[in-house]
Amino acid sequence: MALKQPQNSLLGSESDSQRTLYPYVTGTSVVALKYKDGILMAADMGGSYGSTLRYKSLERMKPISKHSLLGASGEISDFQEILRYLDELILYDNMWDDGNSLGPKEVHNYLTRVMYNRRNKFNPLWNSLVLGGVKNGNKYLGTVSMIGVNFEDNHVATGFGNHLARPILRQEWHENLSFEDGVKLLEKCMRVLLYRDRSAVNKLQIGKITEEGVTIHRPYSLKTYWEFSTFENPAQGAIGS
Amino acid sequence: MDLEMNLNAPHSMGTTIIGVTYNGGVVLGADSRTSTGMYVANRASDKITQLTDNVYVCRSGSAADSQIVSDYVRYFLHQHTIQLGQSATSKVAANLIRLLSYNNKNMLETGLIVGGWDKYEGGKIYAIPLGGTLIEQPFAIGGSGSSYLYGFFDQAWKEGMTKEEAEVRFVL
Repeated sequence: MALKQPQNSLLGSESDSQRTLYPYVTGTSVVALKYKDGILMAADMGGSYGSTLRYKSLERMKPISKHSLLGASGEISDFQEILRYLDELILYDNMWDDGNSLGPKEVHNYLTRVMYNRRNKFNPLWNSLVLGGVKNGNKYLGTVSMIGVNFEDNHVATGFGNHLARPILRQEWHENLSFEDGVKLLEKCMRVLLYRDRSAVNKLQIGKITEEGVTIHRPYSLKTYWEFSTFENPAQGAIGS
Repeated sequence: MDLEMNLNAPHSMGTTIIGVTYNGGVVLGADSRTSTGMYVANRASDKITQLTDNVYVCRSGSAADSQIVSDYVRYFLHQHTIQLGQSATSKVAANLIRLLSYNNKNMLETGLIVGGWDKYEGGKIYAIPLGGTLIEQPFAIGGSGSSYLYGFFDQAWKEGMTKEEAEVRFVL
């Protein structure tokens, strides 16, 4: 059965390996930070199809079991598949019926393994993930990329968020932020992303996870500033105006 | 003038497909052109394909790919119906389409809209674009012709229409 195909490249021929070559429907940045009671996470609800903003009501944050919240950017179909993997993981965990449940650190580790092993097979899940949660009073916030790079920090972001949001967070984040201050800080980040990320959409959700559980708030829009002097009297000085 | 019609190009559908929910169910619509490059291979295609008595799918993209996916899903749904003992739900049909689209994403080029009615959830529309994302929506548009419709739907769509409104305003 094993007819060896002529190898024109070191990586083998295209036909005999399955690999994800490029994403189709993608979500943009996710931003998250630790605050006094737990984790706050924000993501907009846009799903881009190349350069067109095709879907405007995609939920890119989902609760995982009692203790975790997962946010994703990148290919949405791969995110949906990851949710199925996690469903199975949590199901088996619950079936032990031993009173234990997987915490955010464990879920983050599982995701890291999944992402890294897919990367090794040249068939990545095209996502950048943010996993936040609280268990037994311990706050946890981590991230995994599509090539398996993973770390935890007090604040994380994916995609454009790394360039635009994290510098803001480095300046203004501090321990024991209140809920209101945390949301304000996230909104500041999301506003910059809205201004400067072409694939951002002004419809976002804030997810909150505390010891009590997960709440994903209903979608809302940010106010933006456009009162620039250049826009006043645009026809002034124009010939024939 | 370029008379090269590239008759060996894969049959692509150059399509517009629409699925809309209303207060009693769903309305599906599609055009009837199948093109091979610049030549219209079939001007009377039927792009709305039956999967079960209560679930249909609108096909776009590669004609071959969308036909084979529909055929497989119809086959699976038939068996599922026998085993289940009652009609399949539109959600199950949509998920079967998703499974095939997602797991074969490297080879398939087809965007589908599943529309059906079941006794549990009523009328539902599911869009499954390239890549295999599954997204449930109150209405869905697809195919290369759908670009022209985004603006119209964004502005004119509302929930809870009657069948006449849904058909006449949106689909027809």
